[in-house]
Amino acid sequence: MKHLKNSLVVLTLCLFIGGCQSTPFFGIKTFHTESDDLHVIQVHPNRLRQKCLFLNAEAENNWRHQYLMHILNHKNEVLEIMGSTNQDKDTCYSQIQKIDKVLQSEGQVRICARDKLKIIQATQEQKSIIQFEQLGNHKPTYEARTFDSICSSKKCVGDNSAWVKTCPGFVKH
Amino acid sequence: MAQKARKKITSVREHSMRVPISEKNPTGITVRDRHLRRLKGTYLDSTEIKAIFKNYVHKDLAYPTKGKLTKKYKNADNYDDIIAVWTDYFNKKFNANPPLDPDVLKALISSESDFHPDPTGNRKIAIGIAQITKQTLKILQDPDGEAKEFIFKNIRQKDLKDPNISIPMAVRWLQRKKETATSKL
Repeated sequence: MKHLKNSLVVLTLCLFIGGCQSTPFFGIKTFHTESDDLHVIQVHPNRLRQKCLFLNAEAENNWRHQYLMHILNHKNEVLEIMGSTNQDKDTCYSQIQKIDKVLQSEGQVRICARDKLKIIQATQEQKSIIQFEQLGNHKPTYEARTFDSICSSKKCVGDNSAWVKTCPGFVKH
Repeated sequence: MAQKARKKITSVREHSMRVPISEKNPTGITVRDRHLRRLKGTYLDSTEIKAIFKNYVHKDLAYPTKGKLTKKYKNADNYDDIIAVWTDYFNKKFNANPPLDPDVLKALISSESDFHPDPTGNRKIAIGIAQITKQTLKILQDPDGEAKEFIFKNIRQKDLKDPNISIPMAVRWLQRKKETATSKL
C-alpha cells in the first residue's frame, strides 16, 4: 500500500510536469518555401507588445504609421514583426485593439510571420527599448519580419490576401 | 538669327463664349472661367489615358522583371503591361536620360500596396495601388503646380482605385521626383 502511495505521488508529479511542458511560453517553427520563410510563433500574450510607429518623413507624410509587434523569446531575444504597408493612424490603432482582444482571450496565441530571420546589424544605441513589464526591458535582436496574421483558437486577425501562401495551419483571408 | 522659341501657353484667360439660347442665357453668350487650353499632349484625362494604353505600340517596350515576385505576391505580374507602357510613354515625353526603370515602379507598388488595387489601411489619405495621396492628386492636376509641364485633368479620388489610372499618375509623379532629385545633384 505504501508503495502504491509513492507511485501515485510520482505519477501526479509526472502529470503536473508534463502538463506544464505542454504549454510552453514560446515556440517557433520555420517553414522554408520557394519565395521566403514562414514562421509560426506560439507565444504567451505577456511576451508580446504592439505599437504604431509614426513615420515623420516629411510634412505630407504625417499620416504614415507602421504597425509593429515585438515578441520576447525564451532566450530573452526580441523578434520584431511589422505590417507590410503603411497605414493611417486610425487603422493602425484599430488593428492594435483587435489584436488586443485576441491576446486577452487566451493564454497562448499563434502568429504567422514572413521572411528570413536576420540578426540586426545596428549598434545597441540605435535600437529602441521595448518594455515587457515584469520580464524586463529588451532591445530588438532580429530585423523586422512581415506580419501575416495572429490567431487564438477561435479568431484570427490580419490581412494576408496579397500573398500566395500563408503559414501551415493558418487560413488565407 | 535663330527665332526665339515661344513659351507654350497651357491655360486660357476668362472669355465670353457662345452657348445655345436658354432661359438662363437668353443672349446666347456666357462667360467661361479661366481654363486649360486643349493642346494635344499637355494633359491627360481618363478617356485619353485609356485610349493611349489601348493603342500603344508594344514593340521594344522595356518590361519590369517577370516571375520574381509572383512566388510571394499573387498579383505581382498583373500590372506589368501598364507599367511598361507608361514608363515608356513618360520616358519619351520627357526625353528622360537615364530613363525611369520599370522595375523601380514595380518595387514602389510592392512596398506601397503589395499589388493590392485598393488597400484598405489608408483610404482616408492615400488611394489605390500606388497609394497616391489626395495632396499629390491635387498637384498632378494643378496647371500652376510643380508638375505643370504635364498634368492630368478631371481625375477623381475614386478613379485612383483603378490601376489603369493610378499607375500613369505614379509614373508621372516619379518622373517629377526624379527631376527634383537630379537638380539637387
